[in-house]
Amino acid sequence: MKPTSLVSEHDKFLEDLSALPDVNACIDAICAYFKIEFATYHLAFHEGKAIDTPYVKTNYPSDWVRQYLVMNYIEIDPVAQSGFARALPCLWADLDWSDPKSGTFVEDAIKHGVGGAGYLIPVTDRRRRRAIVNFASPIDPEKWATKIEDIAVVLGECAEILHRKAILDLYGKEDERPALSPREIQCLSWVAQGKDAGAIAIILGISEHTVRDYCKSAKHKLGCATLFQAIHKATMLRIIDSDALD
Amino acid sequence: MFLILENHSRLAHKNLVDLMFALRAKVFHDKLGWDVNVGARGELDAYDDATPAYLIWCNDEKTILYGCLRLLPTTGPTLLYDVFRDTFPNNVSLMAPGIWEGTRLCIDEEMIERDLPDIDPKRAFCLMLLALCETALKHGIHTLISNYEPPTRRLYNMAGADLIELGRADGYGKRPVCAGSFEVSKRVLSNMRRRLNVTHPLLSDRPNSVTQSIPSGQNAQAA
Repeated sequence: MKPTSLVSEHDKFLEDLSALPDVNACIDAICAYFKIEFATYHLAFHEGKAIDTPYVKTNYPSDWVRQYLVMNYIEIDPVAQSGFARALPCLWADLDWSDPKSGTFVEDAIKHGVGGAGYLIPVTDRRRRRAIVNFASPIDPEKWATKIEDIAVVLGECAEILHRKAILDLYGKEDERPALSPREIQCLSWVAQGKDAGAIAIILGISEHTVRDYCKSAKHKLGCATLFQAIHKATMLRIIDSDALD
Repeated sequence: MFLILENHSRLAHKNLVDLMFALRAKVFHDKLGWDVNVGARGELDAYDDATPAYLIWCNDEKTILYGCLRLLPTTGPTLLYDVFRDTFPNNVSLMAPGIWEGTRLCIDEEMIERDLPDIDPKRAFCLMLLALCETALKHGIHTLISNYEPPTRRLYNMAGADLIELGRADGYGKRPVCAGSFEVSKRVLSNMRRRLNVTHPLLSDRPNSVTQSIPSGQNAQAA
Protein backbone atom coordinates (compact mmCIF):
# COMPACT_ATOMS: atom_id res chain seq x y z
CA MET A 1 0.00 0.00 0.00
CA LYS A 2 1.18 3.49 -0.76
CA PRO A 3 1.72 5.78 2.20
CA THR A 4 -0.78 8.58 2.15
CA SER A 5 1.05 10.91 4.53
CA LEU A 6 2.37 14.20 3.20
CA VAL A 7 5.11 14.29 5.79
CA SER A 8 8.42 12.67 4.89
CA GLU A 9 10.59 10.98 7.49
CA HIS A 10 13.18 13.70 6.93
CA ASP A 11 10.84 16.67 7.47
CA LYS A 12 11.90 17.33 11.03
CA PHE A 13 15.52 17.37 9.93
CA LEU A 14 14.81 19.68 6.97
CA GLU A 15 12.94 22.05 9.25
CA ASP A 16 15.85 22.17 11.69
CA LEU A 17 18.25 22.57 8.78
CA SER A 18 16.43 25.56 7.35
CA ALA A 19 16.48 27.24 10.77
CA LEU A 20 20.29 27.14 10.98
CA PRO A 21 22.11 30.46 10.65
CA ASP A 22 24.46 29.81 7.73
CA VAL A 23 25.83 27.50 5.06
CA ASN A 24 28.60 26.10 7.26
CA ALA A 25 26.18 25.13 10.01
CA CYS A 26 23.98 23.44 7.40
CA ILE A 27 26.93 21.51 5.99
CA ASP A 28 27.80 20.16 9.45
CA ALA A 29 24.18 19.24 10.14
CA ILE A 30 23.73 17.42 6.82
CA CYS A 31 26.94 15.44 7.31
CA ALA A 32 25.97 14.46 10.85
CA TYR A 33 22.41 13.48 9.89
CA PHE A 34 23.28 11.33 6.85
CA LYS A 35 26.63 10.10 8.25
CA ILE A 36 28.52 11.61 5.35
CA GLU A 37 32.09 12.83 5.91
CA PHE A 38 32.31 15.84 3.64
CA ALA A 39 30.01 18.34 1.98
CA THR A 40 30.86 21.36 -0.17
CA TYR A 41 28.74 24.15 -1.58
CA HIS A 42 30.24 26.05 -4.51
CA LEU A 43 28.47 28.92 -6.26
CA ALA A 44 29.39 30.17 -9.72
CA PHE A 45 28.43 33.72 -10.48
CA HIS A 46 28.18 33.26 -14.19
CA GLU A 47 26.27 30.57 -15.89
CA GLY A 48 28.31 27.59 -17.01
CA LYS A 49 31.69 29.10 -16.19
CA ALA A 50 34.17 28.24 -13.51
CA ILE A 51 34.75 31.48 -11.71
CA ASP A 52 37.27 34.03 -10.51
CA THR A 53 35.70 34.92 -7.17
CA PRO A 54 34.45 31.65 -5.79
CA TYR A 55 31.92 31.33 -3.01
CA VAL A 56 32.86 28.01 -1.46
CA LYS A 57 31.80 26.55 1.86
CA THR A 58 33.13 23.17 2.94
CA ASN A 59 34.01 21.02 5.90
CA TYR A 60 37.03 19.45 4.21
CA PRO A 61 40.11 19.59 6.47
CA SER A 62 41.90 22.90 6.01
CA ASP A 63 45.17 21.27 4.91
CA TRP A 64 43.33 19.65 1.99
CA VAL A 65 41.59 22.92 1.08
CA ARG A 66 44.99 24.65 1.16
CA GLN A 67 46.57 21.92 -0.96
CA TYR A 68 43.67 22.12 -3.45
CA LEU A 69 44.19 25.87 -3.83
CA VAL A 70 48.01 25.73 -3.91
CA MET A 71 48.02 23.01 -6.55
CA ASN A 72 45.21 24.76 -8.41
CA TYR A 73 43.39 21.44 -8.56
CA ILE A 74 40.23 23.15 -9.72
CA GLU A 75 41.81 23.09 -13.18
CA ILE A 76 41.95 19.29 -13.27
CA ASP A 77 39.30 18.18 -10.79
CA PRO A 78 36.61 16.50 -12.96
CA VAL A 79 33.97 17.34 -10.36
CA ALA A 80 34.59 21.08 -10.57
CA GLN A 81 35.39 20.99 -14.28
CA SER A 82 32.23 19.30 -15.47
CA GLY A 83 29.99 20.06 -12.50
CA PHE A 84 28.91 23.51 -13.59
CA ALA A 85 28.14 22.30 -17.09
CA ARG A 86 25.91 19.47 -15.92
CA ALA A 87 22.22 19.44 -15.24
CA LEU A 88 21.65 16.04 -13.63
CA PRO A 89 23.01 14.95 -10.26
CA CYS A 90 25.49 12.10 -10.59
CA LEU A 91 27.92 9.89 -8.73
CA TRP A 92 31.56 10.89 -9.00
CA ALA A 93 32.22 7.40 -10.32
CA ASP A 94 30.19 8.31 -13.42
CA LEU A 95 32.37 11.31 -14.24
CA ASP A 96 35.23 11.08 -16.70
CA TRP A 97 38.43 10.28 -14.75
CA SER A 98 40.40 9.10 -17.76
CA ASP A 99 42.76 12.08 -17.90
CA PRO A 100 46.11 11.04 -16.28
CA LYS A 101 46.17 14.39 -14.46
CA SER A 102 43.04 13.47 -12.54
CA GLY A 103 44.87 10.31 -11.40
CA THR A 104 47.54 12.45 -9.73
CA PHE A 105 44.80 14.53 -8.15
CA VAL A 106 43.03 11.46 -6.77
CA GLU A 107 46.30 10.07 -5.34
CA ASP A 108 46.94 13.31 -3.53
CA ALA A 109 43.36 13.35 -2.22
CA ILE A 110 43.78 9.85 -0.82
CA LYS A 111 47.07 10.92 0.78
CA HIS A 112 45.14 13.69 2.54
CA GLY A 113 42.53 11.20 3.74
CA VAL A 114 39.73 12.58 1.58
CA GLY A 115 39.67 10.15 -1.34
CA GLY A 116 36.70 7.91 -1.98
CA ALA A 117 33.21 8.20 -3.27
CA GLY A 118 31.14 11.28 -3.97
CA TYR A 119 27.86 12.58 -5.29
CA LEU A 120 27.47 15.79 -7.27
CA ILE A 121 24.26 17.85 -7.35
CA PRO A 122 24.12 20.81 -9.76
CA VAL A 123 21.75 23.56 -8.61
CA THR A 124 20.07 25.94 -11.04
CA ASP A 125 17.79 28.75 -9.95
CA ARG A 126 15.37 30.99 -11.82
CA ARG A 127 17.97 33.73 -12.11
CA ARG A 128 20.20 31.23 -13.89
CA ARG A 129 22.70 31.19 -11.08
CA ARG A 130 24.47 27.88 -10.84
CA ALA A 131 26.02 26.08 -7.92
CA ILE A 132 27.35 22.61 -7.28
CA VAL A 133 26.90 20.72 -4.07
CA ASN A 134 29.11 17.74 -3.38
CA PHE A 135 28.82 15.02 -0.79
CA ALA A 136 31.75 12.68 -0.23
CA SER A 137 32.87 9.84 2.00
CA PRO A 138 36.05 7.75 1.99
CA ILE A 139 34.08 4.53 1.51
CA ASP A 140 33.67 1.86 -1.14
CA PRO A 141 31.96 3.38 -4.21
CA GLU A 142 29.50 0.45 -4.46
CA LYS A 143 28.33 0.94 -0.88
CA TRP A 144 28.16 4.67 -1.51
CA ALA A 145 25.99 4.21 -4.61
CA THR A 146 23.48 2.14 -2.62
CA LYS A 147 23.41 4.70 0.17
CA ILE A 148 22.86 7.58 -2.27
CA GLU A 149 20.09 5.78 -4.12
CA ASP A 150 18.01 5.83 -0.93
CA ILE A 151 18.57 9.49 -0.10
CA ALA A 152 19.04 11.13 -3.53
CA VAL A 153 15.71 13.00 -3.43
CA VAL A 154 16.19 14.42 0.08
CA LEU A 155 19.82 15.34 -0.70
CA GLY A 156 18.40 17.37 -3.60
CA GLU A 157 16.27 19.25 -1.09
CA CYS A 158 19.31 19.78 1.15
CA ALA A 159 21.24 21.20 -1.82
CA GLU A 160 18.36 23.61 -2.39
CA ILE A 161 18.46 24.77 1.24
CA LEU A 162 22.24 25.29 1.04
CA HIS A 163 21.72 27.40 -2.08
CA ARG A 164 19.05 29.49 -0.38
CA LYS A 165 21.33 30.09 2.61
CA ALA A 166 24.19 31.12 0.32
CA ILE A 167 22.02 33.61 -1.57
CA LEU A 168 20.82 35.04 1.73
CA ASP A 169 24.42 35.28 2.93
CA LEU A 170 25.59 37.01 -0.26
CA TYR A 171 22.69 39.33 -0.99
CA GLY A 172 21.20 39.79 2.47
CA LYS A 173 17.73 38.83 1.29
CA GLU A 174 15.91 36.01 -0.40
CA ASP A 175 14.92 36.15 -4.04
CA GLU A 176 11.43 37.23 -4.85
CA ARG A 177 9.45 34.05 -5.12
CA PRO A 178 7.06 33.10 -7.91
CA ALA A 179 3.33 33.08 -7.30
CA LEU A 180 1.53 29.93 -6.24
CA SER A 181 -0.82 28.35 -8.75
CA PRO A 182 -4.51 27.75 -7.93
CA ARG A 183 -3.92 24.02 -7.44
CA GLU A 184 -0.99 24.65 -5.10
CA ILE A 185 -3.15 26.99 -3.04
CA GLN A 186 -5.99 24.45 -2.92
CA CYS A 187 -3.67 21.67 -1.80
CA LEU A 188 -2.06 23.79 0.92
CA SER A 189 -5.47 24.89 2.13
CA TRP A 190 -6.72 21.33 2.46
CA VAL A 191 -3.54 20.29 4.26
CA ALA A 192 -4.16 23.19 6.64
CA GLN A 193 -7.61 21.68 7.24
CA GLY A 194 -5.94 18.46 8.31
CA LYS A 195 -6.52 16.42 5.14
CA ASP A 196 -3.94 13.89 4.02
CA ALA A 197 -2.79 13.27 0.45
CA GLY A 198 -5.35 10.53 -0.14
CA ALA A 199 -8.28 12.69 0.93
CA ILE A 200 -7.09 15.70 -1.05
CA ALA A 201 -6.63 13.52 -4.12
CA ILE A 202 -10.27 12.44 -3.89
CA ILE A 203 -11.55 15.96 -3.19
CA LEU A 204 -9.68 17.49 -6.13
CA GLY A 205 -9.98 14.49 -8.43
CA ILE A 206 -6.25 14.19 -8.97
CA SER A 207 -3.68 11.56 -8.01
CA GLU A 208 -1.95 11.39 -4.65
CA HIS A 209 1.38 11.75 -6.34
CA THR A 210 0.20 14.99 -7.98
CA VAL A 211 -1.08 16.28 -4.63
CA ARG A 212 2.39 15.67 -3.25
CA ASP A 213 3.95 17.45 -6.24
CA TYR A 214 1.74 20.52 -5.75
CA CYS A 215 2.67 20.59 -2.06
CA LYS A 216 6.38 20.27 -2.84
CA SER A 217 6.13 23.00 -5.42
CA ALA A 218 4.24 25.30 -3.04
CA LYS A 219 6.88 24.64 -0.38
CA HIS A 220 9.66 25.47 -2.82
CA LYS A 221 8.00 28.66 -4.07
CA LEU A 222 7.44 29.86 -0.51
CA GLY A 223 11.06 29.08 0.32
CA CYS A 224 10.08 26.66 3.07
CA ALA A 225 11.70 23.39 4.02
CA THR A 226 8.55 21.69 5.25
CA LEU A 227 4.86 21.72 4.56
CA PHE A 228 4.05 23.04 8.03
CA GLN A 229 6.31 26.03 7.50
CA ALA A 230 4.70 26.56 4.09
CA ILE A 231 1.19 26.52 5.57
CA HIS A 232 2.24 28.94 8.27
CA LYS A 233 3.83 31.32 5.79
CA ALA A 234 0.95 31.07 3.31
CA THR A 235 -1.49 31.86 6.11
CA MET A 236 0.55 34.85 7.29
CA LEU A 237 0.76 36.14 3.73
CA ARG A 238 -2.99 35.53 3.32
CA ILE A 239 -2.33 33.27 0.36
CA ILE A 240 -4.55 30.62 1.84
CA ASP A 241 -7.82 30.92 3.70
CA SER A 242 -11.03 28.95 3.76
CA ASP A 243 -12.25 30.58 0.51
CA ALA A 244 -9.59 28.75 -1.41
CA LEU A 245 -11.36 25.49 -0.74
CA ASP A 246 -14.28 26.21 -3.08
CA MET B 1 22.08 2.75 -27.34
CA PHE B 2 20.49 5.21 -24.97
CA LEU B 3 22.76 7.78 -23.40
CA ILE B 4 22.67 11.05 -21.51
CA LEU B 5 24.29 14.00 -23.17
CA GLU B 6 25.25 16.69 -20.69
CA ASN B 7 26.20 20.19 -21.71
CA HIS B 8 29.95 19.74 -21.22
CA SER B 9 30.04 16.86 -23.72
CA ARG B 10 28.05 18.66 -26.40
CA LEU B 11 31.16 19.59 -28.35
CA ALA B 12 32.47 16.05 -28.26
CA HIS B 13 29.15 14.85 -29.64
CA LYS B 14 28.52 17.69 -32.05
CA ASN B 15 27.32 15.26 -34.66
CA LEU B 16 24.53 13.94 -32.41
CA VAL B 17 23.56 17.43 -31.34
CA ASP B 18 23.24 18.54 -34.98
CA LEU B 19 21.15 15.47 -35.78
CA MET B 20 18.96 16.21 -32.79
CA PHE B 21 18.15 19.80 -33.78
CA ALA B 22 17.47 18.62 -37.34
CA LEU B 23 15.13 15.87 -36.12
CA ARG B 24 13.29 18.31 -33.87
CA ALA B 25 12.76 20.64 -36.85
CA LYS B 26 11.42 17.74 -38.87
CA VAL B 27 9.05 16.53 -36.16
CA PHE B 28 7.85 19.65 -34.37
CA HIS B 29 7.91 22.19 -37.18
CA ASP B 30 7.32 20.18 -40.34
CA LYS B 31 5.14 17.37 -39.08
CA LEU B 32 3.24 18.69 -36.04
CA GLY B 33 3.21 22.33 -37.14
CA TRP B 34 4.19 23.66 -33.71
CA ASP B 35 5.05 27.32 -33.38
CA VAL B 36 8.80 26.75 -33.00
CA ASN B 37 11.73 28.59 -34.54
CA VAL B 38 13.73 26.75 -37.14
CA GLY B 39 17.07 28.15 -38.23
CA ALA B 40 20.08 26.89 -40.12
CA ARG B 41 21.00 24.53 -37.28
CA GLY B 42 17.48 23.14 -36.94
CA GLU B 43 14.98 23.68 -34.16
CA LEU B 44 16.50 25.11 -31.01
CA ASP B 45 15.50 27.75 -28.50
CA ALA B 46 16.80 29.62 -25.45
CA TYR B 47 16.30 26.57 -23.24
CA ASP B 48 18.91 24.68 -25.24
CA ASP B 49 21.38 27.30 -23.98
CA ALA B 50 20.25 26.89 -20.38
CA THR B 51 22.44 23.84 -19.67
CA PRO B 52 19.87 21.12 -20.25
CA ALA B 53 20.67 17.42 -20.34
CA TYR B 54 19.54 15.37 -23.33
CA LEU B 55 18.41 11.79 -23.49
CA ILE B 56 19.67 10.40 -26.78
CA TRP B 57 18.84 7.18 -28.60
CA CYS B 58 21.38 6.44 -31.30
CA ASN B 59 23.27 3.60 -32.94
CA ASP B 60 26.39 2.26 -31.22
CA GLU B 61 28.60 4.25 -33.58
CA LYS B 62 26.72 7.42 -32.58
CA THR B 63 26.24 8.34 -36.22
CA ILE B 64 22.49 7.82 -36.49
CA LEU B 65 19.91 9.35 -34.18
CA TYR B 66 16.69 7.48 -33.38
CA GLY B 67 15.22 9.68 -30.69
CA CYS B 68 15.85 12.54 -28.28
CA LEU B 69 14.43 14.49 -25.37
CA ARG B 70 15.46 17.57 -23.37
CA LEU B 71 15.60 17.59 -19.57
CA LEU B 72 15.53 20.73 -17.41
CA PRO B 73 15.21 21.15 -13.65
CA THR B 74 12.03 23.05 -12.71
CA THR B 75 14.00 25.07 -10.15
CA GLY B 76 15.54 26.95 -13.10
CA PRO B 77 13.94 28.53 -16.17
CA THR B 78 11.74 26.02 -17.99
CA LEU B 79 9.75 26.05 -21.20
CA LEU B 80 6.47 24.95 -19.67
CA TYR B 81 6.63 27.52 -16.89
CA ASP B 82 7.77 30.46 -18.98
CA VAL B 83 5.95 29.81 -22.22
CA PHE B 84 2.84 27.90 -21.27
CA ARG B 85 2.09 29.52 -17.91
CA ASP B 86 -0.30 32.00 -19.51
CA THR B 87 -2.08 29.50 -21.69
CA PHE B 88 -2.40 26.62 -19.29
CA PRO B 89 -4.60 27.25 -16.29
CA ASN B 90 -1.57 28.11 -14.18
CA ASN B 91 -1.25 24.62 -12.81
CA VAL B 92 1.72 23.69 -14.91
CA SER B 93 4.02 25.83 -12.86
CA LEU B 94 5.28 22.98 -10.69
CA MET B 95 8.68 23.92 -9.38
CA ALA B 96 10.79 21.92 -6.94
CA PRO B 97 14.00 19.92 -6.77
CA GLY B 98 13.07 16.39 -7.85
CA ILE B 99 10.52 17.64 -10.39
CA TRP B 100 12.01 17.92 -13.89
CA GLU B 101 10.69 18.97 -17.25
CA GLY B 102 11.12 16.66 -20.24
CA THR B 103 10.30 18.39 -23.53
CA ARG B 104 10.87 17.94 -27.27
CA LEU B 105 10.46 14.19 -27.00
CA CYS B 106 10.60 12.78 -30.51
CA ILE B 107 11.73 9.81 -32.57
CA ASP B 108 12.94 9.43 -36.13
CA GLU B 109 10.40 6.99 -37.52
CA GLU B 110 12.15 6.62 -40.87
CA MET B 111 15.54 5.78 -39.38
CA ILE B 112 14.00 3.35 -36.94
CA GLU B 113 12.06 1.61 -39.71
CA ARG B 114 15.23 1.36 -41.76
CA ASP B 115 17.64 0.16 -39.04
CA LEU B 116 15.39 -1.43 -36.44
CA PRO B 117 12.50 -2.94 -38.44
CA ASP B 118 11.30 -5.01 -35.46
CA ILE B 119 10.44 -1.86 -33.53
CA ASP B 120 7.32 -0.04 -34.69
CA PRO B 121 7.00 3.70 -34.01
CA LYS B 122 4.69 3.26 -31.02
CA ARG B 123 7.08 0.89 -29.34
CA ALA B 124 9.99 3.16 -30.19
CA PHE B 125 8.24 6.03 -28.42
CA CYS B 126 7.51 3.80 -25.43
CA LEU B 127 11.17 2.74 -25.24
CA MET B 128 12.15 6.41 -25.09
CA LEU B 129 9.75 6.82 -22.15
CA LEU B 130 11.23 3.80 -20.42
CA ALA B 131 14.76 5.15 -20.91
CA LEU B 132 13.49 8.47 -19.55
CA CYS B 133 12.08 6.80 -16.45
CA GLU B 134 15.39 4.98 -15.91
CA THR B 135 17.30 8.22 -16.30
CA ALA B 136 15.08 10.05 -13.85
CA LEU B 137 15.21 7.34 -11.22
CA LYS B 138 18.98 7.22 -11.48
CA HIS B 139 19.30 10.97 -10.90
CA GLY B 140 17.05 11.73 -7.95
CA ILE B 141 13.99 12.79 -9.97
CA HIS B 142 10.56 11.76 -8.63
CA THR B 143 8.27 13.53 -11.11
CA LEU B 144 8.52 14.35 -14.80
CA ILE B 145 6.50 17.06 -16.49
CA SER B 146 6.13 17.01 -20.25
CA ASN B 147 4.09 18.34 -23.11
CA TYR B 148 2.40 16.28 -25.79
CA GLU B 149 -0.48 16.21 -28.24
CA PRO B 150 -3.67 14.51 -27.00
CA PRO B 151 -3.29 11.28 -29.04
CA THR B 152 0.19 10.74 -27.62
CA ARG B 153 -1.24 10.17 -24.18
CA ARG B 154 -2.15 6.62 -25.24
CA LEU B 155 1.52 5.87 -25.72
CA TYR B 156 2.37 6.91 -22.17
CA ASN B 157 -0.34 4.58 -20.92
CA MET B 158 0.84 1.83 -23.25
CA ALA B 159 4.33 2.24 -21.79
CA GLY B 160 2.95 1.96 -18.25
CA ALA B 161 3.62 5.59 -17.29
CA ASP B 162 0.50 6.98 -15.64
CA LEU B 163 0.42 10.36 -17.27
CA ILE B 164 -1.74 12.92 -15.52
CA GLU B 165 -2.94 15.81 -17.63
CA LEU B 166 -2.36 19.13 -15.86
CA GLY B 167 -3.74 21.33 -18.60
CA ARG B 168 -3.90 21.97 -22.33
CA ALA B 169 -3.50 24.95 -24.62
CA ASP B 170 -4.72 25.73 -28.13
CA GLY B 171 -2.97 27.72 -30.78
CA TYR B 172 0.49 26.28 -30.40
CA GLY B 173 0.15 23.70 -33.16
CA LYS B 174 -2.51 22.16 -35.35
CA ARG B 175 -3.82 20.30 -32.34
CA PRO B 176 -4.01 21.30 -28.69
CA VAL B 177 -0.81 20.79 -26.72
CA CYS B 178 -1.19 19.24 -23.30
CA ALA B 179 1.06 19.32 -20.28
CA GLY B 180 1.12 16.34 -17.97
CA SER B 181 3.12 14.78 -15.21
CA PHE B 182 4.09 11.25 -14.38
CA GLU B 183 5.51 9.68 -11.29
CA VAL B 184 8.98 8.18 -11.33
CA SER B 185 9.61 5.38 -8.86
CA LYS B 186 10.87 1.82 -8.75
CA ARG B 187 7.24 0.71 -8.90
CA VAL B 188 6.61 2.67 -12.10
CA LEU B 189 9.87 1.47 -13.63
CA SER B 190 9.10 -2.20 -13.04
CA ASN B 191 5.56 -1.64 -14.33
CA MET B 192 6.94 -0.10 -17.51
CA ARG B 193 9.49 -2.88 -17.99
CA ARG B 194 6.77 -5.48 -17.58
CA ARG B 195 4.44 -3.76 -20.04
CA LEU B 196 7.17 -3.37 -22.62
CA ASN B 197 8.69 -6.76 -21.99
CA VAL B 198 12.11 -5.31 -21.31
CA THR B 199 14.22 -7.11 -18.73
CA HIS B 200 17.49 -5.18 -18.65
CA PRO B 201 18.36 -1.48 -18.29
CA LEU B 202 18.23 0.43 -21.58
CA LEU B 203 20.49 3.22 -20.48
CA SER B 204 24.14 2.76 -21.24
CA ASP B 205 26.23 2.77 -18.05
CA ARG B 206 29.33 3.70 -19.93
CA PRO B 207 28.37 5.61 -23.06
CA ASN B 208 31.65 4.60 -24.67
CA SER B 209 31.06 0.89 -24.44
CA VAL B 210 29.03 -1.34 -26.72
CA THR B 211 25.57 -2.00 -25.33
CA GLN B 212 23.02 -4.73 -25.62
CA SER B 213 20.66 -4.77 -28.54
CA ILE B 214 17.16 -3.48 -27.98
CA PRO B 215 14.47 -6.13 -27.64
CA SER B 216 11.84 -5.90 -30.32
CA GLY B 217 9.21 -7.04 -27.85
CA GLN B 218 6.83 -8.65 -30.31
CA ASN B 219 5.12 -10.33 -27.37
CA ALA B 220 4.55 -7.09 -25.60
CA GLN B 221 2.96 -5.66 -28.71
CA ALA B 222 0.53 -8.53 -28.94
CA ALA B 223 -0.47 -8.07 -25.32
